Amino acid sequence: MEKFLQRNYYQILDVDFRASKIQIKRAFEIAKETYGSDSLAAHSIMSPEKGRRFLSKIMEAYRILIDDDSRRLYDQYLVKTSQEFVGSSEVGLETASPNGQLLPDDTPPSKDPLPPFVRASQLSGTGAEKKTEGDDTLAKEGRYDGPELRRIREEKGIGIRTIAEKTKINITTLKFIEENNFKLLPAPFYVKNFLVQYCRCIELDPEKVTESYMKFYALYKEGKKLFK
Amino acid sequence: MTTQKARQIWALGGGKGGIGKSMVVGGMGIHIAQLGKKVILADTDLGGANLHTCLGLPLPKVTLDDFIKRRVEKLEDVVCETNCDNLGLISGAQEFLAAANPKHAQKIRLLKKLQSLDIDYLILDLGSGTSFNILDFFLISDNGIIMMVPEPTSVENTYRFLKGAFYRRLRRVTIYREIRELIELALDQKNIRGIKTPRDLVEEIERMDKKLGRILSEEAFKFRPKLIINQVRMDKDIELGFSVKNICSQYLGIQLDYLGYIYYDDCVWQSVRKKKHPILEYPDSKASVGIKMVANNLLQNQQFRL
Ligand SMILES: Nc1ncnc2c1ncn2[C@@H]1O[C@H](COP(=O)(O)OP(=O)(O)OP(=O)(O)O)[C@@H](O)[C@H]1O
Ligand SMILES: [Mg+2]
Repeated sequence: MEKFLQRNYYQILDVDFRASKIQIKRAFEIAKETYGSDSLAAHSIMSPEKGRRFLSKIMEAYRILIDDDSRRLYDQYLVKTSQEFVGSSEVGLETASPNGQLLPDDTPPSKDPLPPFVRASQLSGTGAEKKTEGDDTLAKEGRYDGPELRRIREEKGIGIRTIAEKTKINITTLKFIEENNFKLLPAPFYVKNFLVQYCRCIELDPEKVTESYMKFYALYKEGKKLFK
Repeated sequence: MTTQKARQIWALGGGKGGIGKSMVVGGMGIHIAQLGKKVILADTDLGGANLHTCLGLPLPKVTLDDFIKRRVEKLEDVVCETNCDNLGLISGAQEFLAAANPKHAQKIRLLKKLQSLDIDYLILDLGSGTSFNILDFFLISDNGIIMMVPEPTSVENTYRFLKGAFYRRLRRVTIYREIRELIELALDQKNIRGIKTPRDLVEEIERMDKKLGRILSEEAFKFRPKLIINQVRMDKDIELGFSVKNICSQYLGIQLDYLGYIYYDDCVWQSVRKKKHPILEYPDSKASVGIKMVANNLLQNQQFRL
């Protein structure tokens, strides 16, 4: 039970780390039904009190994973705290439709009975897979967080040192910005200021970038206790 | 569908009596036999056998009891023909209650012979309950299936069955005395260590010994029982399967696959009264469609999802 509360949000919702929004919604609906007060499935095995504790954790997991920005931050947090993490255990059988036909499923069936150990680099938050996807970047959606800014900077062949020299911003602080290291960044006012200067160096629209980046920052502040 | 050459054993059990296990074993057998596979159904419900009735057959002259008591030497000699091509039946012991508790050596001999039958699919009707006999047959099978109906008592029995099977499985793979003792402890729900679920047990062992805990949690992960819900009447009953699966994985630490559901259907008892199987009598009825769905999911190694 105690361990349940420590599991990551993907595990708590029983979804794969690559789960789509639809899959996350569906998993949430099942979980709500499962641990709700009039659940036939839970009634003989857990106390209502325990059910409520499960449910509140499930709500928390859903809130974080259903929002693109908070999910991205959460993924980055997971990467930072552990090099690999175990997603949902759903690797058994393939998905079948009611008439028994195979449906395409984005989780490949695995013969390996062990839990899938997911490499950190496969997570959506690392930016690693974004590079190979070419057009499909966060920036295209008007979303800019640290790793995305770094990707753009590197694409343009601009070194972080160059930016530090031009802006007189401490290189460590610049690195914190690019790592989404909100914990160690100064107050929002300063971060905004830095961002504007940073944007000028890599020719990005400062307004758009700060608005999006500060949203990530705010999400972090809001969810700080969750990410601990 | 790809032809599966390797012989497979499926075993269907369920904590509660009279919920339709024999009916479904019969139906799955007929369906697979109709697909051209060689199938034998075996009634291992020693003492309360009635699978033959489900298939519309009279009480067979030879039963498993004759094999257990060595009145016949070969298991093949107790296989009876049925009304369907490709489908054989090994009937359970009827009146010899002593056979309901075969000695360990007798059980091993039976298991070995069952495993070496030259057929495509062997489906065991385990009967109800959670006795060691039943759990052992459940555990030797390639697909251990548990049947449930949407009622509180049946749900409760399902968890009891799964926990019992899980602990017995872990116990078999363990040579360490400390772990065996912990398993004994876990079986007592009010134990002092606060071990309430298989997950608790594995975590407790992990705390004691990291490596051992890892071995056990891998072992736990290989245990993949299957679930069928019979006698569903509404959508909520179908959803129950997902909820039970969720609780098994999240709370109990058991990976359960949900195979599908079978509707409650008046044509079932109508055909039972005619001593015919519904899958032959009403092949397109809701109940028959459900039985086929579940069997097909097993054949194709996949689970049901909305
Ligand atoms: N889907 C269904 N719709 C309607 N009736 C059903 C359904 N499934 C089972 N039944 C009814 O339940 C009765 C009992 O079924 P069956 O003998 O297969 O149960 P069982 O689980 O094998 O019982 P036991 O534990 O005693 O072996 C059937 O005769 C039938 O009338
Ligand atoms: Mg029966």
